[in-house]
Amino acid sequence: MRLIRFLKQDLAHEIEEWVDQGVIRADQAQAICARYGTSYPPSDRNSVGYRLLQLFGILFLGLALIVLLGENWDAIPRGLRMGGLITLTAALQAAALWKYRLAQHQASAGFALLGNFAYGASIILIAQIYHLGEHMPAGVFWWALGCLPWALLLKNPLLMIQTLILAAIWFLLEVDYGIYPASAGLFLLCGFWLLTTGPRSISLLLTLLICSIAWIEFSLMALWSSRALIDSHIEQTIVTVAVFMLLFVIGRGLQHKASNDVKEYGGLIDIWCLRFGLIFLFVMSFSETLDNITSAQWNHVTSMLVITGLIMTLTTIMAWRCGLLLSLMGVYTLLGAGAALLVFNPQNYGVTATSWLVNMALLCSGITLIYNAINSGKSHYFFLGLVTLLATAFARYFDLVGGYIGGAVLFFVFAIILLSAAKYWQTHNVKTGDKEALANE
Amino acid sequence: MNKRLTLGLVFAASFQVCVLVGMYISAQLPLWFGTEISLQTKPVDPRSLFRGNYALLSYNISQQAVPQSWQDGNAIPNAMVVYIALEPAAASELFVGRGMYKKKPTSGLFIRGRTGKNWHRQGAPMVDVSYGIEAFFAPKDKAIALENQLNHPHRAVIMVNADGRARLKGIVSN
Repeated sequence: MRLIRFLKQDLAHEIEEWVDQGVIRADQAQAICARYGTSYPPSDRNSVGYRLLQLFGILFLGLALIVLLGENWDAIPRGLRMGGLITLTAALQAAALWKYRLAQHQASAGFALLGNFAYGASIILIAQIYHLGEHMPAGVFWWALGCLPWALLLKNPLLMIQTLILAAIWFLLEVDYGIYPASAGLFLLCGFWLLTTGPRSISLLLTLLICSIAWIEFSLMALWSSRALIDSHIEQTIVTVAVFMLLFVIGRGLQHKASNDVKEYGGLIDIWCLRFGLIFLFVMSFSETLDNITSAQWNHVTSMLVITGLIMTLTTIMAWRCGLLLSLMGVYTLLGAGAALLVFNPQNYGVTATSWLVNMALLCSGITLIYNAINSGKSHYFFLGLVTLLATAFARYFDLVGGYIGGAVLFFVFAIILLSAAKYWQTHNVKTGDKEALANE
Repeated sequence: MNKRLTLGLVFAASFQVCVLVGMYISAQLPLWFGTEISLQTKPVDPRSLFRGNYALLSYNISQQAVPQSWQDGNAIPNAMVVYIALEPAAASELFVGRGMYKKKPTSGLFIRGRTGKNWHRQGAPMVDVSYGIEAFFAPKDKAIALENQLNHPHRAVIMVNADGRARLKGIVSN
């Protein structure tokens, strides 16, 4: 029931009706709501919609302030403009502190968020007044750094997301300028500290995952690039796949923990890694992609193998501890076979054979997902499996692998698989229904 | 409420104000203590997402020939700090570049910049250098008017500190 978190408030309202109709008792309603991290009786004040509206309100206030600066009020004396904005920043942060002292934590975070926007607007104003260059990564860095203490002290995920987004902008500006800012990792560490010690936040987890993967990619680019340019390298593909496999195993491992929050984090990492894995396989199912990979310049093979080897060792140890070793070995075998076919290219059929192998892997993944969905009742696995099969079918329709007859055979195989899955589902449901009927008797 | 946390939040608020004051002073320093020079300039009019309209300025020192001693077959790294020695052009108020250095010159007037794109002019290696004075922010109307005027020669008035850091003071018609 991973998707239930989007419907928590609806669930609480639904349960309220069940209590009113006498279907369940109030204490049972409380227990069910507690299981999904919501409260009974439901409170609209803390609903996602209420908080989102507040958040967007603050966001637009901040944007209004920044856009207003763009008008360049040069008729107003510099000192007045500067003084006004610095005073506004200090006043908003003082209000955040005051609200925190009154134990109004949500209001405090709201003022701090707005105060951080005013602080950024002040930096922008200084850069505007003093004509400080076309690009100003340093200004964004100070903006992010100024937001960081608020996020850490108030232990607020939203403020940390604001900090991470600013740090990401700074990082990208620096990289664009040809500089690799190694210190960006500190922002990520702070983010992970808050994720593990602060309140549950799926948004923060997703932001951290995106920022961390981007940071790894740019770090690899910086490691393998010449001194004058930071550009992408084919070796990143292999390391990225290894990173996602590690993340997937971590996700599975987290789902075995006792805490519901940690389980939810694990589920989210798991599903997104699975999606990435399927997208990766889908991209690799095109022979043009495989041709590009074989013809690319592989200039950093040794360091790539060392990094990938370290990540894979860690993944294997974790998979062994989580009982996933067999599945992982299956994935390693598939990747190893694909790599061997591409590297040794037997009788110049390496690319074609790998393409077929990947297509079969996609097919098997789709079937496995549908099978698991039927057994576990997880609808998102079912739809993911279905999308995988359909996307593969459409892609093969357009590039017509194996000519018209080959394509027709492939679609025929797909049809049989889908019809068999439907039949299996029906049989499975009938059996389950029979068992329940028997148990009731 | 925890006293240490209160102090921490006071620090967080003070930190932001201190950064702003520091940035203001850092921006203002060359204008207070710097040496005034003039450079030939040629602007166009883009828009910054954050800071509104501005005229993008290109100077006669924005493109530098790579010194012979630096030519080791590798490109000049991006964002490397370099110093351009300046001296007045003959019979003119304008200043011109007289050589690029990796280390800060011990005497004379110089400006600090960072390297950009590597390229070639008639086979000779060149590198773009930016000095943090390439944008002149102005209200939209003024920025457009400036852009229209800039078919005629203009000069940028720059204040340069003792360490080579520069601030753009204004743009005046020749």
